[in-house]
Amino acid sequence: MPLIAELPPIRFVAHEFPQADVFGDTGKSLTKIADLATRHWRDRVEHILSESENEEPPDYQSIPLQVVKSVKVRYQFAGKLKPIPYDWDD
Amino acid sequence: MSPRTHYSNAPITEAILDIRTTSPEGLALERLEEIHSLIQEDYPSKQQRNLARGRWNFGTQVGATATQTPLGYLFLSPDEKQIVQVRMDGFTMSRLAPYESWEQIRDEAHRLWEIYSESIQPRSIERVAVRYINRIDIPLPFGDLTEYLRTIPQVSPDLPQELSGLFMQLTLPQPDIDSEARLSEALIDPVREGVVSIVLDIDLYRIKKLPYHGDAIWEFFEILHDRKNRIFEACITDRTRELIS
Repeated sequence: MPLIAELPPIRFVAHEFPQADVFGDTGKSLTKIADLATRHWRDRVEHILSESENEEPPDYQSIPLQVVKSVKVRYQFAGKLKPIPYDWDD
Repeated sequence: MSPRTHYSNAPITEAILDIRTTSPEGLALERLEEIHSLIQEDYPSKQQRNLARGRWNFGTQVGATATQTPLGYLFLSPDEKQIVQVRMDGFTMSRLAPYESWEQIRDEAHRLWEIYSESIQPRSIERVAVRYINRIDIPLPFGDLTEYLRTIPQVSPDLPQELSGLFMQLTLPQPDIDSEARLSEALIDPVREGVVSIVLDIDLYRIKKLPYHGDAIWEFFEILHDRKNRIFEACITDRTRELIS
C-alpha cells in the first residue's frame, strides 16, 4: 500500500508552479478532466483551504444595514433582581 | 529494470521540456519578440501569449475588473508540431506526435534555450521539468485495467469493478534526485471505435537545489528523462508493451 509522504495533502491544488501548458488534443482532454476534478474538490474544501492560502486577513467591508421598519417598544423597570442560583457541583 | 528507450508505436502524444526562470528587472516584451528573428526560419508562426487576471469586488457595490498582461510568445514550426514558448517567466519546448526521439527534442530545446538565455539573461532558474503525455488505446474487450496498467486506483473487491470515469493524480517524491513526479491518469473519449483511451501523464520536476546555467541543466534533464522512462515502464505491463512495440 502507498504511504503518505511528508507533504500536506492540499498540494493537490496548491502547487507553487502550474504545470507546463499543453497543446495536443490528449493533453487538453486531460487538462479539462483535471480542472473538473480540481473544481469538484475545491468546492468541497475551500473553507478549509482559505485559511492556509490567504496569509493576509481578508479586507472584508460590511454592508451598512438599511432601515426597513421602525418599531416602538415600551420598557418597564422591575427593580433590582437577585442573581440566579448556580450549582457549582454540577 | 532498465528503461526502454524506444517503442516503434510509442504512445507519446506530447513531450515537454520546461524551464521557469526569474527574469531581469524591467525585461521588455520586445526582447522576447526579437528572439523570433533568430529562429524564424524553423518557427515561422508567432502568437502572443497573455496572462489574464480577473477580480470580483463585493461590498456596498459589486463589481468586476479584468486585466490582460502580455506574457510572451509562442513560435510554431511549419507543421505546428513543434512549439517554443519564450515568456517573461521562462522557456518551454513542446513536441506533439509524431514523437521522434528524446535526442531530437532535447537537442532542439538546448539550442533554443541558448538563444533565449543569451538574449534574456535570466537571473535564476526556479524549476525544471520534463513532461510526457501518453495515450494508451486498449482494444476492447478486456477484463481488467491491471492487464495493461500497474498503477491504477484500487476499488474494493466488494464493489462492482466497472468504471465509467477515472481521474487520478499522484505526487511521488523522488528524493534521490531532489524531484517530484506528478503522475496523472484519466479516461478520455476513445479516439476510435473498439478501444478505451487512457492518458498516462508523467510530469517530473525539480524546484529546489537547482542546477545553474550551463551544461548542468542539460545533464539534469538527462536524469529527469531517465527517471520518466523508469516510471513509465513501472506503470505498464507486457501487454501494453506488445501494443506499443
